[in-house]
Amino acid sequence: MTEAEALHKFGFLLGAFEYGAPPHGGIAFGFDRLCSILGGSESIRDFIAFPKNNSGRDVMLDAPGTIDQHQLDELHIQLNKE
Amino acid sequence: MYRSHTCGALRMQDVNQTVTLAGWVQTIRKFGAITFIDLRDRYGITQLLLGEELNSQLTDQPLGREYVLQATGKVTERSNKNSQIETGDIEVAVTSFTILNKSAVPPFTIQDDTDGGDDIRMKYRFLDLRRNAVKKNLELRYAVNRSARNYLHQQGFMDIETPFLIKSTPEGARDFVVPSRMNAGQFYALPQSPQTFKQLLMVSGYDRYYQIVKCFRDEDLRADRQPEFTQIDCEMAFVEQEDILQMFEQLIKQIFKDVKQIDYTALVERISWEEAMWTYGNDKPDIRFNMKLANYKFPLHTFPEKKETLSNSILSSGATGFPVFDQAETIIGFAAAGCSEYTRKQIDELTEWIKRPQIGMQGMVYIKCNLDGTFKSSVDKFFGEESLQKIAAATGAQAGDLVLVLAGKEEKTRKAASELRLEMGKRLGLRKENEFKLLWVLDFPLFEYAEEENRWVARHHPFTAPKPDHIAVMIDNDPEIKDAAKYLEHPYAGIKANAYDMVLKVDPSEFSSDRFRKKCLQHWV
Repeated sequence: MTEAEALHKFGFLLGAFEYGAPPHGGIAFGFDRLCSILGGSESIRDFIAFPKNNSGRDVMLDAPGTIDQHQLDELHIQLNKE
Repeated sequence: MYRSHTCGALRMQDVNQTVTLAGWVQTIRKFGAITFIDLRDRYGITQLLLGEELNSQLTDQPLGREYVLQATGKVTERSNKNSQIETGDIEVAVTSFTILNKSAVPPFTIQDDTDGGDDIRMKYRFLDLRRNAVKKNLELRYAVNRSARNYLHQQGFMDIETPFLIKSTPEGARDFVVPSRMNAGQFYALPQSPQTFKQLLMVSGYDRYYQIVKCFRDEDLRADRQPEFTQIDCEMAFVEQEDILQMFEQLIKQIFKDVKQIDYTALVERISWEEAMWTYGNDKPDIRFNMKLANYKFPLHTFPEKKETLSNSILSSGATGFPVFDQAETIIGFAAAGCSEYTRKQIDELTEWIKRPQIGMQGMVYIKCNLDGTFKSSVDKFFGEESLQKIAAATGAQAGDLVLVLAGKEEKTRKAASELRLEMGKRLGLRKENEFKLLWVLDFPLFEYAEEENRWVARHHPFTAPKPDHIAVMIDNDPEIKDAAKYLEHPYAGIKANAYDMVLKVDPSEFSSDRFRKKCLQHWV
């Protein structure tokens, strides 16, 4: 990452570090995976109440789905129709 | 009041009490004039007995599976007890019942061994959630959640919510974006993790923060990945790496205790990233079984500290006469205990396994360390008994073991050796489901090679601290790579970070999909 890119993407954080940042560190645990291991299962899906399938779809809600033209207009979005 | 008890509450001591239960009709069984109903709720199943006097109501208002029923009656001792369920000693002799709601015929049976396939159960997930097996999983999830919260709360951590509508920072995985109606042409992104916010909270002085939080990554989906998933996200200020390791291995141990009643008192082992790659070919190794790798040959720049091994190795010369070994960048082997009697067929099958596209090796060399002390190999033409003995000895092989050797490009060969090791561990039953072992992997590389850009990029995120004595290497060199084929020789390849991973493995199955990873980082500020 160039310095300009870094400033653009993380400028607020770099800026914040100018105001007395303490030494710090952390961790993030994969909660779904932790549960599946403790539960003796190979699938994290089994431990999520409403999971997506392997194509990233929620087949119960049928999401993702299309939205109305009206919504698109409000959002200033034009679809690339191919 | 809809019920006096739940469907899991009644026992022998409740006999003769008049009770009212409410729940779903699991099964209906008719025996002559008598009807038995299994009534189910979140807490269990209770058997209802409907006598002859209720038959006319049953005819007028027929019941069906998953009907919502309220029933009042007297608790009685069963003549035919069921030791499988907690309420199995009693039943309720119903005096009156009300159908609270009917149900359409469910598309699959709501039982432990349901007849519903994956797809239909996903589509009717709200029905699948009624099943005991799924309910147990959600209960376990809540137990883990509660245990983590209790521990972190006791340690003075504060749960602070961070926003979901944030700014897109195209780095790492792809962001999910959300268009802004109020700001034409502009977008929010959903967080891939609360990384920047938790660091800002440190600057703000909240020196122990946690959150059990949804994260979003628009990745190409591999098996068992979810575009939205949950992290236990933590950050601490005024700490050294050691403080963090201790705090969070204690967290996992507490969860073991609360959720699994496992007293994990052993020290959590630690291994450096480099040593993990050297010994297991994997930065999240399964250390529940031994089967360590023997590194016969490897590019010196990938493991500069292992120079000694290279000079002592019988296969490193490049002049063994066996072209596959002589042309290989890397040669790795290990011993599969007690497999020297493998048949031709079994070995051919393993060879096919290693040639699968997911592994992609050209082949495999084997050495059988026969019980009578002789050696038989697939390379007898090139290596005499004495050489075979030396090659086998490097793996620690005993008589009766089978030594498997892979050769090729460094990264591919190392990965394949790791996968073959895991596969053999599985086949030999060494990866036991109920054995848990924690491991810290320390000193991760700070950078990874971005093939498309042909340069080094931050492996985790750009605010990770390098190891103090690697800072100079970083400053003195450019991350740009001149010769793509030799990127591993670039000085950035060796820069290590104050980054660590905790690994907890249990009965993994398919290719690289099932690892439990917890990224932990010391940030450089």
